[in-house]
Amino acid sequence: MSTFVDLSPIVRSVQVPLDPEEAFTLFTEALDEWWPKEVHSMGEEKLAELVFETELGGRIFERWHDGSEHDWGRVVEIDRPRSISYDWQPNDLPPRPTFIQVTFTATEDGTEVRLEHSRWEALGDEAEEGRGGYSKGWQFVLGRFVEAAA
Amino acid sequence: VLECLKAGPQPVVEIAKRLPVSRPAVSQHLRILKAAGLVEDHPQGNRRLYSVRREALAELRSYLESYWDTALAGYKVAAEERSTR
Repeated sequence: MSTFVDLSPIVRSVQVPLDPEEAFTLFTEALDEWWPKEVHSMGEEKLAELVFETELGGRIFERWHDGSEHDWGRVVEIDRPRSISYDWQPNDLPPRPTFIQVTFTATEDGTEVRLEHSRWEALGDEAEEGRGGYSKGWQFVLGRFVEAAA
Repeated sequence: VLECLKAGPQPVVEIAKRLPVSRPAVSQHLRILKAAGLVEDHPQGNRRLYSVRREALAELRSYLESYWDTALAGYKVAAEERSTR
């Protein structure tokens, strides 16, 4: 039981040839343009569009062809165009949200976009709630993880 | 349940003693955790010892890293398309 477990935030960054405001707009309001919906969404073929409301308390959600809305998360901090933070809780199912912060820093030839996903280990506790592997929202994240691990 | 198992492998009865739920309820939790790959069990004498499968968190981390890599790759492509418009 002495195996080291790394629970530190997951950090990813990407350099893009846009200024911070454009990079911010693309990441948020234009989410639907680039998000890999076919692999990373709850609705998959039922999905009509992704909506990212860039205001404090704004929702990030999927709108399906049947008109229903399915939440991904909620904006908790916004400092346009420098950063945006949101609680990430697909379909409100994990009992505790994980936390995502995205920062946009101007560089010589564009913007460095850095994404930090923290509190993700809370997803491990979700299975204890018993709703775990049986709910669509949870499958969104852990289903694929379990498949990969099998 | 995961909290109880942090100290090390334990049988169902020991876990149930430390929680305000019945032993069958603990067994039910353990079945779900095992199906999700978060705990594993090993026979010891006439009982089974349950322990946290630490690799599970490492796998979850690795899954989420690849999740964001895929998403940000899409973002970068869209950004490059926008910049050449």
